[in-house]
Amino acid sequence: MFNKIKVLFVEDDPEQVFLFSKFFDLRGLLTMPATTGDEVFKVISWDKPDIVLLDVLLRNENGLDIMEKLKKDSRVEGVPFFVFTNTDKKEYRDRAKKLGADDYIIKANTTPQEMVERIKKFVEDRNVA
Amino acid sequence: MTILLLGFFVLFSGFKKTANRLYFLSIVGFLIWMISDYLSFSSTSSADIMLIERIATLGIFGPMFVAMFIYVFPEDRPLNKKVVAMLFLPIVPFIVALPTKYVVSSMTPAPECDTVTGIFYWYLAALTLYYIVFIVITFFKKIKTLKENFKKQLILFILGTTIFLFLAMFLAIVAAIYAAYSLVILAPFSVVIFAGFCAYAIVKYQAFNLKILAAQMLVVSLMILIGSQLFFITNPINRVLTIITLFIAAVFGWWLVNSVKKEVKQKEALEFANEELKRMDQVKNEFINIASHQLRTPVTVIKGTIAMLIDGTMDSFDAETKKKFYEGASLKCKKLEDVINDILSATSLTNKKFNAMDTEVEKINIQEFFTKMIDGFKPETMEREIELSLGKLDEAVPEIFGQKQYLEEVFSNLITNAIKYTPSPKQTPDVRDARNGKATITISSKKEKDDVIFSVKDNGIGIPTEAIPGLFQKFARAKNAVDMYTDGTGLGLFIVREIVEGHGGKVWVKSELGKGSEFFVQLPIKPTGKVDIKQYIEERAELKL
Repeated sequence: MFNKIKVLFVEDDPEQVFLFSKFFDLRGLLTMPATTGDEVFKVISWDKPDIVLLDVLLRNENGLDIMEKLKKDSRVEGVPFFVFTNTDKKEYRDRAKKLGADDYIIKANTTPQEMVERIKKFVEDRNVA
Repeated sequence: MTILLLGFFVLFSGFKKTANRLYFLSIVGFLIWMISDYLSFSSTSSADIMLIERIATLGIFGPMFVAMFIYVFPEDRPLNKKVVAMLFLPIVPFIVALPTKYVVSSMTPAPECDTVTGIFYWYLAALTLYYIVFIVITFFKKIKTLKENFKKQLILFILGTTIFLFLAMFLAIVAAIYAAYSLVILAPFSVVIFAGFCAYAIVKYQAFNLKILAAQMLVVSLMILIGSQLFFITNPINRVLTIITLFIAAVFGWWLVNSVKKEVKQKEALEFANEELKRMDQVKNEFINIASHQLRTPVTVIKGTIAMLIDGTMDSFDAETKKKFYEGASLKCKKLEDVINDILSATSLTNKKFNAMDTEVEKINIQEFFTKMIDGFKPETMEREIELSLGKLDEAVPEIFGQKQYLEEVFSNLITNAIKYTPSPKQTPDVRDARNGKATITISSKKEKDDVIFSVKDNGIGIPTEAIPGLFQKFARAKNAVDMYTDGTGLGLFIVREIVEGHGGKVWVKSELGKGSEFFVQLPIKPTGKVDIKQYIEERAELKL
């Protein structure tokens, strides 16, 4: 049976959650949304994602802090990370790189269509390799 | 001797500065103590020695002046009467008691130097400790308020040496009481260290003045050199020539010192401008960072929605989902508009800090003003089921004078915030935590002397205590991811503050997390007996700026 790519989508802006998750699901991905760090850990206790899309500026917390914790969590070992944000600070880019992010994508510079292609390609290439 | 020179050096390097004078006086105080202590060891007459020992205790003025010095330096804070009284009055009983046997009752000359000390010698030790406590407290207050690291380092530097000095002095006093003179030896060392380090700190802080001093010294020594020739010259022609030379040297010297002064001033101005530029650059970078984030977020949604329309994806959704997409895009358009307006507003305000002088003030009827404003918010408040109403307006103040369009911006910003942070029962949980009970926002006014205090009170989510101090600063919220997430630019309250202060008023907030917030705007009304309201507001605005 065909397995859908599971995307853990960490984002707290409701309009963006709606836009991307609806579109991703339509195009054959399975979106697992989370708006806070706590929710992220709840989600990964249910299922292991194939990729994580992570916003940086969340309410009350920094997405990179969540990523740092996730990197130490055995339940998501080897799962790729895309930092998916609209903030473009060198400080954040450097930290993301140091934490081993696979990409740093500015949301406004892409479209939902492009993101689906990117995610599919990245996950499939990885599985082949 | 060196210490005295240092004292003079610092004194003359900034004669008009209180800090420099206080430093000099403290040095004099310590010198009195040291020199008389030294004399007491070499004097043989018992009566002399008593007198000298008594004079030595006047060295307590040293610590007193140091305490004042620490209070003043480095930000050049004016000494107020309260502080002077606090520091000086405790010395008074001591001075009164000085001639009596309660300070020094008897003393034998060297080599024994046995001093019999009175009860007031203990008082002297206590005074020293009192000044230490004062200095340490002042220091901690200062560390909190001083922003520049450099100043902090300086004051820390001085603190260290001062405590060392005072402890040495304290020890010396106690040693005198117990006749343990080997301890006294530490005291002169500590004075030298204190004097040296403080002089360094002061001169370093006012570094540019050194150049002026050097030029002045050069000119003065040149004049002395030329002038001294007059004593040796017998030939009248040579004498006239020398006088002319002296005159030329004086003019030249005056010109030299002045030009150095000018250069130093220019340099200082340049340094200041440079600092300001650096700060502005930082603000600008921060601004670009925030602005770009705030502009990109709505663009993301609008762009994504349109992309789905173009490629036909939208057709695969049902009508309700489609509607939600369009509403989302529309909401983001509104946000984009708000962000752009906020940025424009904030930049025009900071280009030249807003000030009520620029345009006319007009009479504003308070009741009318708010009724109209509340009507303007009807669509939003109805949609979100929030009750926005006019509470108690103080009848003593039916109208105020101000710049209407700006004051409208103030209150509409405050009301917008209140609406934004007061969740309505209608809201879905994924937007904001649903809150039980009715959502209300109330506007009221109260007279307070020549001012009126307006209040915009909501029962919304409240503001975390730690976020309150920086709330009115430009982009202050930006540093805080909580506030940044929300849709504003972090400029709204900054704009509010600028306008209110431009009117000569002030703005503050009381808030409890989870319970709600109350924003206060204090504005001047009509002063009794004064007709020229415009000038009144102008004056107040000027005072503030």
